Amino acid sequence: MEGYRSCQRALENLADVCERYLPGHHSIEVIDVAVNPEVAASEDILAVPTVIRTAPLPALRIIGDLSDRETCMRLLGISDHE
Amino acid sequence: MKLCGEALNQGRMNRERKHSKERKGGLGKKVDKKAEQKRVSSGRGKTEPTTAGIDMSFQQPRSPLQVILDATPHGIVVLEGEEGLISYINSRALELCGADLRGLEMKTYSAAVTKFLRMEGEVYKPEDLPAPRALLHGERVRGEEMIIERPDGSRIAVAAHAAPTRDEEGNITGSVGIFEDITTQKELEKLRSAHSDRIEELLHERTRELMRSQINFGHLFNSMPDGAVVVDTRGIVRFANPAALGLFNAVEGEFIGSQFGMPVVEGSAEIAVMQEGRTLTIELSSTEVYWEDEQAHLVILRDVTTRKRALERVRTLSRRLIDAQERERRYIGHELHDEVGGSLTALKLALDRARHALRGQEKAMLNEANELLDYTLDYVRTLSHSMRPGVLDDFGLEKALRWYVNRYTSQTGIKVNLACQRCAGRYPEDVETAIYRIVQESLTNTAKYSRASQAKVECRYKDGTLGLVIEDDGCGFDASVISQESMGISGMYDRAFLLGGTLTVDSSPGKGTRITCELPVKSA
Repeated sequence: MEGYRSCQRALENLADVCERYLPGHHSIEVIDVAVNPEVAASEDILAVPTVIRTAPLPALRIIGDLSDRETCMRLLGISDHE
Repeated sequence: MKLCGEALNQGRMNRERKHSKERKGGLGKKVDKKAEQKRVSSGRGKTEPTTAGIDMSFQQPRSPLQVILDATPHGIVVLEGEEGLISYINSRALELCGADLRGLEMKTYSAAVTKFLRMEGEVYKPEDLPAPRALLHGERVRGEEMIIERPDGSRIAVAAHAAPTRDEEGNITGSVGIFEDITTQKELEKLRSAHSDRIEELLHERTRELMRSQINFGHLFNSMPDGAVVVDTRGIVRFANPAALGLFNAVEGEFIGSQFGMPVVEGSAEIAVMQEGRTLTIELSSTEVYWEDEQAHLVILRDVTTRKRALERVRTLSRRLIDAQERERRYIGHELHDEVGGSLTALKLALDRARHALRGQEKAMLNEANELLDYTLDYVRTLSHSMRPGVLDDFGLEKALRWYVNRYTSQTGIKVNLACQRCAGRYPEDVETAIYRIVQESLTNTAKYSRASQAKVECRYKDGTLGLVIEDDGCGFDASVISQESMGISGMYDRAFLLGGTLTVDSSPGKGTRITCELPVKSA
């Protein structure tokens, strides 16, 4: 689908950050809104890729391919001390 | 004011009154001050100290209170009687008025001595001055601002205060006037007012500019074809222009305040927006801004769906063109090799048989024909290989590159150093073809234009990417002016682009040429 490359890139970036800085302390659930459009509607997802941080609270929503690693980590509350 | 009355030396006042009566000056008469001063001085028999050039001798001897009054920074004038006789004037008042007003009477006062003007510029009538008003009407005057114009033409601003003096029965016996020099204060006020006016003017100007820019920005945002969304630090929409509302098929009231998300991109990224059963490709870029004094992000959204589809169509067409070209080359190569080459070989065999059967001059003629045939066979073989080298299809990239480089050196005399790393395996046909064609085109250009003596070709596979570098030591060229119509170079760009790779050409006059290409490879 359109935006597929950005979704792939966002997933790769997110997985890389989480595996590097939160090994064993994270889980990523990927929802393909093309396959599950009802999820997009129920979660009010306007565009993809969208990342929703459900924990820790408060919930946070990020849009984009997460290529800005520094901002991504800051928003997710991840410190760069490995 | 009773205190003031008591303070004055009655004897001196009487003397003053007498002195006043002796003076010839009066209303409408000009006072000869020099003569007056000379007369007073000679009357005393010695020269007395002066204030502002005015003889102060008449006020001698002075009581302690008088000394205090003379030392005060304010001018003090005392009027007495119905005529409003100036019975006392302190040193500061003389200084402020710039003239000796002693002994003059209110009713006969001439403005020719010292002029008292209202702030608006109108000259006071004598009876309208503060001290006379206090004397005549019992009025208490506080801080009435006026201008004193001295006989020498200089002007000062004063604040005048006045109050009547009364006897024990409460009858007005005179009045006291006090002048406070406010020239500096007024000048400062004037200055401040001028600055204030300028500041206000600047402020208005800036406000107008700001309003204009806000209007322009508002107009710009509302009329721009790109979507503009301002999100706060929680990712909540604070502003959206009509184009953005259109992209999300939203109405302003609902969209403002909804969760958009914090934009996280470096430069720009493509996102997909689902809209009424179709998917839009949106290019998203973001920049930090301040919105209503709070940190926020301005997100610009450009609908690139049409452009992207057009690009895809161009890419597909280019790919088909290149594929068709390769197929055609392969076909022509095979035809040249198999059909033309085969026929020429058969012809050569027939010619050989005929040649062996002949003697003398006929045989010599056939020898010439045989040589020509050998040349033609060799040419056709070369042409066939250049169309599509069988070695590339049969043995892969590295061997094909080695075969090509060897043949190139033998044909051009340009030595080529070929280094291959982890590229002996097989890669997708389109990737192998692209690499081979890029090397072929680059080295052809080197031979045609560079006057190089040697070249270098490096090809290596690493982390899913085939990297290629082709360098020569030739004359180089200005790479910034590569023409779009340069078929060779644009063909190289196309091949790299269609495979999702990159190609760069670095060159400048006298510095040789370096071509770098990287192609993603899904499986080695």
